[in-house]
Amino acid sequence: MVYHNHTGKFLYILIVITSICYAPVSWGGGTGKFLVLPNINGSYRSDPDEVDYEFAADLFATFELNQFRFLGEYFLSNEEQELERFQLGLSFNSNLLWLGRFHNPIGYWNTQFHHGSFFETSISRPAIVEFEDDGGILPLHQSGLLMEGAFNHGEQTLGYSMSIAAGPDFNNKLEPWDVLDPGSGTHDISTTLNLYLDPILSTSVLAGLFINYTEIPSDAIDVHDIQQINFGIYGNWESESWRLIASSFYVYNEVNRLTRSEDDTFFSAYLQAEYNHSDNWIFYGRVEGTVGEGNDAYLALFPEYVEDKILGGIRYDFVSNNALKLEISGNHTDEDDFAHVMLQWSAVF
Amino acid sequence: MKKKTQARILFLFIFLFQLNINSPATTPRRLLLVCDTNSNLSYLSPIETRKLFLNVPVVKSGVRLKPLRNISDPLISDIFLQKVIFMSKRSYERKLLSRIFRYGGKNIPVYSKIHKLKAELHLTPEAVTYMWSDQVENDNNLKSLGVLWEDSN
Repeated sequence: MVYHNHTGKFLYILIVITSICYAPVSWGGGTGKFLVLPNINGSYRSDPDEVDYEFAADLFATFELNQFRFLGEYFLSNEEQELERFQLGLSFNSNLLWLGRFHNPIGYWNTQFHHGSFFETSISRPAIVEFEDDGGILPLHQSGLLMEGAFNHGEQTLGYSMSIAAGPDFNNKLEPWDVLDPGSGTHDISTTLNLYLDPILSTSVLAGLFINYTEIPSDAIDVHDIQQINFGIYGNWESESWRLIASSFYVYNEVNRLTRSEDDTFFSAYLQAEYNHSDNWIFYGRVEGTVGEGNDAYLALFPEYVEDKILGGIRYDFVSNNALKLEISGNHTDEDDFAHVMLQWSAVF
Repeated sequence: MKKKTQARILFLFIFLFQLNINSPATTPRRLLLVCDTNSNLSYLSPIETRKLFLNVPVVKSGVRLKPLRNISDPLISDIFLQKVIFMSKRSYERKLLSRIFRYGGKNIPVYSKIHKLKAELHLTPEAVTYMWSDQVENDNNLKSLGVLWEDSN
C-alpha cells in the first residue's frame, strides 16, 4: 500500500477511534482503551549487503458498551500503512462473535502478538507466520465472521476460535481484503478452527491444534488459483524463568495453473526459548526449519521465504514499558544464505 | 552521640515496643475476597478468582462479574500477586494489556482509596474485590466470598 494515498483516510480513522475512546460519557457509560505501540528498527543483511531501517507505530483502540465491543488496529510505518484489524463484536457468556477483519486464529503466534512489537520478546516473527506484506506464505488476515470463547471443565479451560471469512488473493504476494479499499482484489473462502487447552490455574502450559482451509484466487500470469490446507499443533510453556513457544505446520497446496495443476506438501516448525534473567533482561533463541520444500510449486512463488533459521537475541526492558532488543540470525532461503542483525526499540503507551 | 539524642532513641524504642505489645496480635490478619451484600454471590473458587482478575469473563447465575483491583496497601498488592495471580507486577500488568490487545474490551479498574473502592462495590452488585478482614468486618454492606490469604504468625 502506498503511504501517501491513504494519509487522509488514516487521519480520519485515527480521529474517529480516538473520539470513540475518549467520549465514554456520551456513549452511556461505555469505556475504551487507546494504545500506541511505536518501534524503530535498524537492520543489516549480509547478502545482499544492505542496511535498512523502519519507523513504525501500531495504533490500537477498543471500546466496550454493554455486550458490544469494537476493536481497531492501524499499523503505519515509513514503508506501509494498513488497517490491520477492524472488528465489531458481541459478547455473550464467555464467547465473542466478531464481524470484520481480524487475525486468522492459525497457530499461536498470530493471535498472541498481532502487530505490537513490544509484546513479542523477539524482533522478528517465525517465517511461517510472517505477515503477508513481509512475504508471508500463509493467510494471516481474514475478513468475515470470527467466533471465540471457552468452556470450563474443572481446572481446565477448553478454548476455541473458528472463523469463516474471505482470505487473501495472490499477486506476487498474498494480499488480504483491504477495509479501506473494499473493492480491490478478488477474495475467496478461508476458514479456520483452533482448539486449545488452557490450565488457567497454573498458566504453565497451553497446548492446541488448528486447521485452516483457504482458496486463494490469483492475479499472477500463469497461476489461476491456489487451494491450501494447513494444520498443526502448538504449545506455550512458562515457568518463573523460562518460556518455550513451539508450533508445527503441515501445509498442502494445490496450485492450479492455466494448463495444469501441481500439488505438494511441506512441513515447517519453530521452537523459541526465552530465559528471564531478571525483570529487565531476557535472553532468547529460536530455531526454524522447513522439510519438503524442494521443488514445491507453492513455495516457488515466494523466493524470499526463509526455510531455515537460527537466531539469538537479548531484550532489555526499561522505564516500565520500553524495550531494547538485539537479534542476530542465520537464514537460508531457496537461493541464498545470509546473516541478519537487527536492533529495535519498542514501547507501549 | 549526645545524651539528648540517646534519650530520644531510647524513648522511640520504648514507644514502639509498647505499640507492639498493645496490638491485637490474637486476631490473625486475613485477606478476603469480598462483594456487596446485595450480590447473589456466595463463593468463588480459586480458579474463578484467578480468571476474574486475569480479566477472563466469569459468569455466575447469568451475571458477568466485574473485578476491581485494590492497591490501597502495598502489602495487599504483593499478597494478591503472590497468592492469586502467581506473577510479578510487571508480568501481570503486561498480561492484562496483552489480553486487551487481543480481545479488546476494558482493563480492570484500579482503586488506591479504600472508600472509593467500597463505594464502587455498593454501586455495582456484580463487582468483586479483595481487602483486609478488619475492613470487611466493620462494614455491614460487605460480605466475604472466601479467604485469599491468612497470616500464619
